Amino acid sequence: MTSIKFAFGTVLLAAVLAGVPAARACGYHDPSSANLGMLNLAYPDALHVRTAVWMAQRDGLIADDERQAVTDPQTATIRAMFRLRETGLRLALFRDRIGAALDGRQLPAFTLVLVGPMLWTRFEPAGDTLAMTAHAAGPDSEDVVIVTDAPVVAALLEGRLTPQEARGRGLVRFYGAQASVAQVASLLDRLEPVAAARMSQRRQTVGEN
Amino acid sequence: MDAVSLKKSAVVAVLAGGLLLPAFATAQSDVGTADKATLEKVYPSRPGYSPYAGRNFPTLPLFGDTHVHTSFSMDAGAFGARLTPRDAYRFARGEEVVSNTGQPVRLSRPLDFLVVADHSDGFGFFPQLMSGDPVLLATPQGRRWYDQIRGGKGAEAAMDIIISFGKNDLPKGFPLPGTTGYRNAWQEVIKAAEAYNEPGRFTAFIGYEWTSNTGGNNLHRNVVFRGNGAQASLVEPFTTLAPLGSDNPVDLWKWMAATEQKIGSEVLAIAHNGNLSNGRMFPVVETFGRKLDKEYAQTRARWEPLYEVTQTKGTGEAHPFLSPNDEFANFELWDKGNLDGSAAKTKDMLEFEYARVALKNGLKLDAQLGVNPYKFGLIGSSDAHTALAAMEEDNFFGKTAPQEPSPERMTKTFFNNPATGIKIMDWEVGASGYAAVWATANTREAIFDAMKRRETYATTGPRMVVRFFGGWDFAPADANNRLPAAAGYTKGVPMGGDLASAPQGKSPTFLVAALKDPYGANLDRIQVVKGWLDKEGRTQERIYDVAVTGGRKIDADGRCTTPVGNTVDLESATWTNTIGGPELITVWKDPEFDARQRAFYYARVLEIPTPRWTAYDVKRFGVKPLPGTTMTLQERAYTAPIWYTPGA
Repeated sequence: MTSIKFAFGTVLLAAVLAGVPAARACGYHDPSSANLGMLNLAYPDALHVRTAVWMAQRDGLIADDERQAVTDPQTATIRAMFRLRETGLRLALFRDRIGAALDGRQLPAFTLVLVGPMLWTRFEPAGDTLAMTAHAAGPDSEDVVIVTDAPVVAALLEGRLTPQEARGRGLVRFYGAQASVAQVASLLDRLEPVAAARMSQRRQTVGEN
Repeated sequence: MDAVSLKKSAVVAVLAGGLLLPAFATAQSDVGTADKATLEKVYPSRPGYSPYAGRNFPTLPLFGDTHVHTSFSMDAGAFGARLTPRDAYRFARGEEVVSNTGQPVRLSRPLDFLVVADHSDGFGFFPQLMSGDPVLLATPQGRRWYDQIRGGKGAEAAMDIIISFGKNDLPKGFPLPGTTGYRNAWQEVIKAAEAYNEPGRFTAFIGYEWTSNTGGNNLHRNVVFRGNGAQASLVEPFTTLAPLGSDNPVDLWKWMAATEQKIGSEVLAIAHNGNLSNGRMFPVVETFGRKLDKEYAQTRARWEPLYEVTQTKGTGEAHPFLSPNDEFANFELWDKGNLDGSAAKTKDMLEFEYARVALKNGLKLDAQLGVNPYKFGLIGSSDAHTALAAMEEDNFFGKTAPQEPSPERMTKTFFNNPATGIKIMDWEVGASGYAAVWATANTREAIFDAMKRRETYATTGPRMVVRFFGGWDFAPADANNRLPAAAGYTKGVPMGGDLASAPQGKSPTFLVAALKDPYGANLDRIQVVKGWLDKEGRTQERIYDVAVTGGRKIDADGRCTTPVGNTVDLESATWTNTIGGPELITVWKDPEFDARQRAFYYARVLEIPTPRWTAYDVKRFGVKPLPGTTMTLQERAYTAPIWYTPGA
């Protein structure tokens, strides 16, 4: 490394090196400031979501995530694995709820990034539903990009927060071609929380009986 | 002046204020001409009613930051800085801005001056790339980087860019001096400074950082222009990569000399972070393969009148290993390795990294070469890579955009080099510091001139007012004055000055005074740090407590061993000014002076303990600090030294 002669970004280099083995990794493995910073470059003001999230947590609007750092690497790895799994399950649920709202509409592909762990998840229409690529490398060039965070997705699914409130509080930001963004945002607005969906399913079942 | 105009001017003078001065009025009829010299003879040095009338010494302690990066710096941009040089000046002037992470932020009070010091290498690269610059994007590399960043592979892109830069394998359109992109970025920096420079209220300097970093060893310098935009536009910043630039400071100084010739105005350079140079910032034998000679010493002293002794990446005044008797030396240290953590620190490096030992070695070099290369004044500045000079403990916006306030920053890693295991946590980043300058006016010229004469001091954040004068005749009565500067400038030299040729049988005396920051904490003590060259030619140092608060005793050895106490309540992140005192002033005489020995003296002013930014974060975010997190600190100021040179 000392053979690399460079005159800028030394701290950046260190941060990048820290993340090199994790070129495809998300922040559950090794949070990288460079990845976060680059997100703000590519998607202007994406980091504003990070601030909106902690403010919403402070106000009790969304749940706190696990803030307490674990110094023991083994424990940290195990916890990260569980958190990744939990988040993956939530994103699958999110896909199901969005898919349920599709109702035969055309939708551009979109990629959602959780700004805390820097976890990318890609969604694309597949027939009447949505296919999901968890832990994606990033968005495709034409994708709409949604920047948000795990506690926001959880709050949306739990019905503690409406998609409109989330947007209004800066907890969700969209990037991409205007028409595509409008389509994806409009679909997100129709997202039914899990509890409501269950109620609705139950009503339907009772009615059928 | 003819008789008629003399009469007229005399009348005007009388009407304008001379009515209270009969001696002046009477003089007009007896004296042929009322020019300044004549009037001074008639009415010599007796002041009028106003003690301030006619004063021409610096009366303004101006506070600023000479080291702020914006999105125009490659690393700041890569870390997500979106704010521009214009935003940096607006913020420093006291305006509220929205930070890089979307948080409204404002200083408790405006700063007086600011230097936006973006890295000269790759100036404005990321704004250029991400704006979709057609020249850059027409190249395979430029396109790849753009797509990688947009495609969520920012870290890969950053690595690729750095390696390409290191190999000098850069795409067409990359902002190198002489290219349109570079020129445009530099012009925008200049225009921003011109737009926000408001003489008398706020000074926006034009500047940049020359970022020599070979092998990860920090030899950075900030370059400051005295002149205006038209002058600065005649040149482009000096970079570090050959063939256009160089990583050797000697070449920077050559560039500075050529620049002064070309633009007809002055420039100066301020080095920083010797603590991350791994023993290279203050060489004494050789540097860049060349013996350190008189020419090097002269040139360095000529171009580098100041040293940035404290900033976010550590405070570099003194180190406990070098100064084991200094109980306050262990303060906000970063001493694990070099800047990129590629090489660990060894103890033998420390002697060539810290300001106090450099000042001492400077005396030795002066004796050997006849020139002291390390005759610098001290300032602090932030090195913020956010465009935000927000270095107040309760208002700290971090070093980089991801380090802006959030619950995570108490526990996140700032920097980690897995190859060496060198790791720095976010909590280790300091909310420091600012530059204080004694200037005659808030203008580029006046502040620059004060920097050149080293009439400056560093603070770790608070805006305490500190005076430090040296002379041969200061007496205790001089400390009974609320305005010590009159005596200070009349009987001695201010911080940054020189004493020479001690009068027979006299020891140097120092008039030192400090007022607390009106928004801040009380003072603990004032110390004078003396360094000297003994008769064997060895460097020595000694610390004297010269004024302490709370009625504590200073022992015969010049030390006060009673701590000032601590009122910090960590739970509420508060403290009270029930200990310490709001001001200190004294006259101190060196009790061990030897007129044959070179020496320097500087003042260190300590506040009582207060909460560190980490304590405010714990309170505001409800997070638990990691074990070992520093939660309180004693903020401080360091004045530029006053040097004594025998027979000079």
